[in-house]
Amino acid sequence: MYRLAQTFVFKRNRSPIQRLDPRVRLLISGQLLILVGISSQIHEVFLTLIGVLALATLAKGLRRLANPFFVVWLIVGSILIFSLQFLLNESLAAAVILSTRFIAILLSLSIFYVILSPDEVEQVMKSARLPRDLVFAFSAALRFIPVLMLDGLRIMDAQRSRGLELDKGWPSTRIKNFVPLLVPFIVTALVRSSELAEAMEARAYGATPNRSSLEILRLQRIDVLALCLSFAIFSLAVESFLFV
Amino acid sequence: MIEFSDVDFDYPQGQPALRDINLTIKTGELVAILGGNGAGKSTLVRHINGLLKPTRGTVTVFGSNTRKASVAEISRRVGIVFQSPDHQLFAESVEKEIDFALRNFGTSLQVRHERIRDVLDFFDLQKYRSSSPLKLSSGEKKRLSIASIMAWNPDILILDEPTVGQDAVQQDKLKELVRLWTDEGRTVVIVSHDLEFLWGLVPRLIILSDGNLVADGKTDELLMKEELVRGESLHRPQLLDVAVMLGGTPPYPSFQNASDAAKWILKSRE
Repeated sequence: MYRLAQTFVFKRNRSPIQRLDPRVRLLISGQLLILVGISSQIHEVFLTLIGVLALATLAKGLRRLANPFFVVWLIVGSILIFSLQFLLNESLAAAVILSTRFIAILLSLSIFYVILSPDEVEQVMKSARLPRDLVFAFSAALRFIPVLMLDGLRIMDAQRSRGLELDKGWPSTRIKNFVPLLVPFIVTALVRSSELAEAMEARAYGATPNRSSLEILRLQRIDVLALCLSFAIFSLAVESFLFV
Repeated sequence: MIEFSDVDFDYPQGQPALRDINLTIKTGELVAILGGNGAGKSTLVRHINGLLKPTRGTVTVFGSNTRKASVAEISRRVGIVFQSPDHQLFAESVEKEIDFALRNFGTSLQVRHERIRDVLDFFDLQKYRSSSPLKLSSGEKKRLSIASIMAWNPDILILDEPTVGQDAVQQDKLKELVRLWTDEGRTVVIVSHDLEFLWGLVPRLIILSDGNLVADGKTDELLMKEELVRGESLHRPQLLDVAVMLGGTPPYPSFQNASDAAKWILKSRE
């Protein structure tokens, strides 16, 4: 769980991708997600997967995506989807496509955490003139994912120390065993959010309608170049996925 | 008996948390583990019930290697009260919260009823028996989390920062409980920064710094090493500080109040 949580923690490095403007990074990550969504053939899914891995390599985040726990979850999930699809439709090709798409979707969502920090997401949303409260709620939710995962780990430790065994018994017992984890998890998340709201208000959040920003986003030449390149690749891929 | 032999522990990202820990805590002993933030105190105690397994070396509890037993098996003899009660409370009522572990360990119904009644009385929680644990105050939640561990009478009790959020009366009650527990020959390990609470209660201190064991000895002796105490971001008990400043002659008894300290200092200077 701790290892899994680490996948969702942004780490700054001096990779070529992280030097780009956050808006460009968000666009590239969005383009990959769209490509995963529209890919329907096996070669298309594989091409998108290669794109995701190439981006992770450029962002020096491949090692994080390759963390054993994340990989195990990916494999288990894809095997499950593969088996279900194969049993229901009896089509090997469809089962392979669906399970590979599952991997591609999860990887392209995870890459988001490798290339963008919650602060940068907030900046991008602000620059798009989205409502301030919405921007804050979204970036706070992103920031809290790893924190909540660590909370989950602590809850699991506390309940296991009281004799709770999650990996024993019938499936119905195992499902029931999650109640002692879920209740404190939801309660701590709610308490945390209410404390955050109070702390923000105590520091005058909402006192002025137009908050200034410490950093202002400006596109550099390299950003424009990366944007053009990514759009060119994206347009080619969309055309070949949908119309060829 | 708890034994750490050449224990190293690294977190998954490779950051070292414990280095070369060699430590023995005998049955019936009362010890405190101290150290600044990030010193490795909580990591160390999580090894005792097998929640964490050492990267190198072995941890044995009552002769069995924690690597080879499940957390549930070890927990029958090792109870940990975690720092935040919110991470464990989930049941519909205080009574069911206490019953949770007893049920997990397969305790008979009659014994469960007895134990629940005993701990509710001891922790002054009887009036909340049917209330939701989530409606309790933070101090009451803490007491409930301790009660829910005490209920199954583990041989080793580990208290992680037990004084946080507890008023003076509850702290005294906690001291009483710790004494009662050790009088029965059980082992108690307390993780805390609160030297005021520990002084006079705990005869042995183990001090960690950056994952290394830097001191292990008698409380009175270690507290006299001012540099060691300050170096680990700790404060000596105020009455002890006053006694030292006013030139009282060691060894210093653990004063219960200022009046005791004043009398002892005057007597010591005669």
